[in-house]
Amino acid sequence: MQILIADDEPVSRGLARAALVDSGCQITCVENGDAAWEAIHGRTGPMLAILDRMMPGVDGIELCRRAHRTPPYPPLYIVMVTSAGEPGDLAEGLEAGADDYIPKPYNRAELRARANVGLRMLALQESLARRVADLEAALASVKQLRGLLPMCAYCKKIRVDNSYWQQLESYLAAHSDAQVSHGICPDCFPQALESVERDGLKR
Amino acid sequence: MVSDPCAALLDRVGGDAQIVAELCDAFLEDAPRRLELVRAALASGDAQAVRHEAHALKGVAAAFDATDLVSAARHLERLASDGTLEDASLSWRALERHGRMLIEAVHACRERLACRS
Repeated sequence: MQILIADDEPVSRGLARAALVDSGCQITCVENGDAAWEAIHGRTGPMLAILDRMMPGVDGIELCRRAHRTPPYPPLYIVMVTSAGEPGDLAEGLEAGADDYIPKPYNRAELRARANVGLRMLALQESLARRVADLEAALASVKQLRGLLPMCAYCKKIRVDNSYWQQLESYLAAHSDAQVSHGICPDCFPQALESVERDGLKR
Repeated sequence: MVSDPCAALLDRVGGDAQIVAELCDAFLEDAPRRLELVRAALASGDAQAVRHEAHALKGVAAAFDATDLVSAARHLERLASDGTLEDASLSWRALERHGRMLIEAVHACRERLACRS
């Protein structure tokens, strides 16, 4: 997991870093909104972003709006840092897409607690995304069997491309979880018996 | 009034004096520059810059529980937001005075921390 701390004011930045240094996450600190956007936009894994409301360059509100216009993966959890006594900032931040907020001045325990909520949410989102990908892959495989299968009317092989015909059993094994067991049906039994007896006589 | 700004900060970081020392250093490097930026922005009538720097000073002052500086910075930030910087001279004087007082108090606190270690 990555943690981004974006604040142009060094004491707040240092407080946040001190609070989260034991989190086991990779922490990146930036001093302006443009660098924060670069980090958010280029993230390669789940990211907890602690964004100051007001920064040089892109401000925290605009960062939230931009982030929510981009693809939601890898997951991003935004904690907006607002000034105490500015309820307008808080509402604007949440409406722009922040997941949580923390008013300044914050203490280490409070920021840690809120960051932990964010990290839990990110882990959950990551796990759900993996499950969805697995299900989509399984669904794609099922869909192949639902499509039109070109089959030989005599030997029942399936045509998999223009030149290759695959045995039905191996085709089913490759495109589904079904296993094939062999037997002889009553209709084919006399013909099979005749064939076996004929082979026996030849020997 | 700034009695012991480090006591507030020490409380915020769970009693870790080493972190407080680092944050004091960061403040002592940053705050005088910010006061100067506010002064320059007021002189040039740059309301956006005044608003931004006052906002940042308000945030750091809150971390040290420096309530007078928080009030002065908040007032100046509002004037800049409203575009009424012509009324800002009193607010600026308050901001500068309380800003200097906090810088002095943090400086003294930093020296005490250095003596302890």
